[in-house]
Amino acid sequence: MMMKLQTYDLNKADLKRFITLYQQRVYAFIVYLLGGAQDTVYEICARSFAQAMGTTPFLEREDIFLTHVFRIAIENSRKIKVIPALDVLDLLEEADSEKESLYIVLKALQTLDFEAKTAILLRDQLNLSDNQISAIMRISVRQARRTIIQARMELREKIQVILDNMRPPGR
Amino acid sequence: MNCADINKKLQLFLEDLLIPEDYDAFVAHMKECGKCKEYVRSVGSLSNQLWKLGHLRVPEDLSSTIIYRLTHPETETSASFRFAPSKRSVVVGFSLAFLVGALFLGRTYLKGREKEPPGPTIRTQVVFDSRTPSASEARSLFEQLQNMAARLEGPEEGSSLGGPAEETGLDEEEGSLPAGASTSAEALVTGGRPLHWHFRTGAGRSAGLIEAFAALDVQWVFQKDPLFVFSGTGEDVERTLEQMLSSAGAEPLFSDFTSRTPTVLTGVYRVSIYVEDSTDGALHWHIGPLAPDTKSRVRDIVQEFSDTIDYDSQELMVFSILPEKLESFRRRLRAMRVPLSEFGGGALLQGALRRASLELSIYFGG
Repeated sequence: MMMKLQTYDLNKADLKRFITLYQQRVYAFIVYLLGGAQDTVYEICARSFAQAMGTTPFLEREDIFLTHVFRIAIENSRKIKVIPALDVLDLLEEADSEKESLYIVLKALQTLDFEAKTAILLRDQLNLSDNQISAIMRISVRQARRTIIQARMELREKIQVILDNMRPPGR
Repeated sequence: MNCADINKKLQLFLEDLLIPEDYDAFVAHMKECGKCKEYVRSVGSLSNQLWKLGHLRVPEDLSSTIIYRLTHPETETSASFRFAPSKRSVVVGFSLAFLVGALFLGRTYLKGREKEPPGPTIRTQVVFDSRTPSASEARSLFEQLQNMAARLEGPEEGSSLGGPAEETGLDEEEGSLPAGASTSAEALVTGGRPLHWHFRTGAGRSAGLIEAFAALDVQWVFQKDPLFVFSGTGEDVERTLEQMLSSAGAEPLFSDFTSRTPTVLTGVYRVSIYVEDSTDGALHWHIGPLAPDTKSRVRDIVQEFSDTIDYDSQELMVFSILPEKLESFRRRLRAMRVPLSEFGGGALLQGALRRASLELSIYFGG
């Protein structure tokens, strides 16, 4: 079954294959950017993909597509207010023993502001370069670098606070 | 960068102190070398923990939803539509809805009472007669009663099915009768909810499938290669689909394009079937979902361009147009910017087939 999509004649299986390549990364990024609310994440992810694929030559220029899809996802998530939830850990494909330490990181991550979260997720979760991050966030490379470093420092501090609060009193 | 370099630069990577070129090379090597990736990720660090957080399971239907959004941009819902509301907003929302509903119902009830037209007045009186009526008097009384009953039933008599809904297998919600259907047989042909199926065979095998379908004992409403329309109750539809799938063997790809098809088919349905083969098929469009006025504009375009209209129902139009009009017709459809998917017609559009008239069809549904 052929679908006409802009100038492309793509078949559904090809489209699905392309989406499957990137959907996991984009979905996980939005999950942590928003801090929970899987329904909202699903909606934003689907919308961002559709917008990015509808406006970029995604097959020819995957790099442009990636920048575009993350940029749209960030813009779509920016004004959304959700109550942070920790139930996303249920979706993790990690052992339960791992999840304990990840729980603390997640909790700390949820306390960061939007820009800091964006920068640190793009860097550490998606391993994007400074140039890519600056293109996605529409800031200079230098500023991107600074935001990442500050975000990481802030995250360490928050983790420390959580760990301190977890220790039994008097010790 | 090779595996030895990864070992050397691991600490710098974990502390994010690599220069951009080295960082890119490091990440590129990890993408290629599973062993290095596993090794690097096994080292405890903040970066690695964030990376591990990214290992989420994605909902299985996400890619399908994205494809649907791509092909149906108009149906995209706003992000806020799906957002989980807070408990407070749910309570407030329900209270408001209840209040508005109560007000509306109350107002409607009061209005109905005020404006209710006076119905037939039935006068009753006690007839006391100790005498048993004679045969002729009894017949006359009986005729009077019959006339009274006929007057009370009035014009509804003609449009009724002559039996309760359950006798005809129609249910009120899904199998509602069309206006003007005077018999249950007629209702089956013209009424019911539309369903739309596609069967796709291997190259050059659609003719065999069409022949097999045509031979089935079904209440056909319309048959013209490659489109079939039949009508029946939910049971008929399920039985027919089973027959079609078994008569066609394992090969054809069956797709149900009906939006919100119920799992259990109750009531009356009108099923349109489009058959194509993997190399090509007749040109066929799916347009919609559309607002009623947009739908009538599409119909106007079809009427303007078509030579003849072979079949026209709420959900399907089968028509023919002259080959020279095809391109402008397609342009007009596309210019409407309605959700539109095109099936088949490859040879036609490439100009490989020269015909006096082209058989086309449009399914209104999305």
